[in-house]
Amino acid sequence: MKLLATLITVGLVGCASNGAYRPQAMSYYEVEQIKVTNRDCSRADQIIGQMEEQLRRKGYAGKNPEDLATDEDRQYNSRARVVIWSLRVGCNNPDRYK
Amino acid sequence: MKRLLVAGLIFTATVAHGECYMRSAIHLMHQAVDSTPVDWQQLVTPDTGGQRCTVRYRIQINHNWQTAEGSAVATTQARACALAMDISRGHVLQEVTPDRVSADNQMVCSDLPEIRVHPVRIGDVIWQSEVDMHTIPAERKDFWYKRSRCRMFVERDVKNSNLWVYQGEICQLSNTPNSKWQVIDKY
Repeated sequence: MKLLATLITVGLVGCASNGAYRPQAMSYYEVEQIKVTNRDCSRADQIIGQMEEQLRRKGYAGKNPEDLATDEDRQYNSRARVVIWSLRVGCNNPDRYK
Repeated sequence: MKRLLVAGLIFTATVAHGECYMRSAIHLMHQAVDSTPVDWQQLVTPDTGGQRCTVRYRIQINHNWQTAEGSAVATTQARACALAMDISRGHVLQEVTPDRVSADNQMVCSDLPEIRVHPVRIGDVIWQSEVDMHTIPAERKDFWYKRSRCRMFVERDVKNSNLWVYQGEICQLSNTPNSKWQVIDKY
């Protein structure tokens, strides 16, 4: 049992040292809480960068939704990209929603 | 003089009534046809009568893409294509006629490639009418992104008895009128 625990520990350390470790992404709950309005346009690049980073951490960057494995993956991916495109579209096209 | 004035008034009223009727018909057409024609294709081939011109384009009727097609023969290409356009417009008007209650199937033979709505992937280069318009009216308008004209679209996908509705963005590859579009994102 002790050996098994040691092996698991060594295995995890091994994963971290060979580059397989991936920084933890925000939770779906955290992403869902992000609401953007036109007041956020001044820091749009920052928020977009943050969302793109979450997509990279989750392994969704550049992926089509039908290629994602689970419903949870698609929901997270969709939510993050809605934030990104809300800022890209809304901040560059101020007359769009008038 | 008095009789002439009364006759003149009656004539004016008749004309005004006629104009109102015509405007009503035009208004009805504009309610149903939601866009200008897009994704033009034109094919001109020699014919015994001169030149045969076939035009095909896509137009939104009640927020659904429809293909309009017309073909005509004339001595010159310009005349044949003008006639083909008139014929295609006639077909569009048939589509939007409110008393159209029957459905029919037609076999259409054409050398022009068929454009239809189909599933797309990020990076695909497509005609804009190969994806559906957004379901939310406020999201149907074009917008600008990185100096390109773009618009949002939706795609329906039935998987394991579940209906998934994806949305995404397509952007025009160049500013030329009949340019194709690229799928920029989909989620």
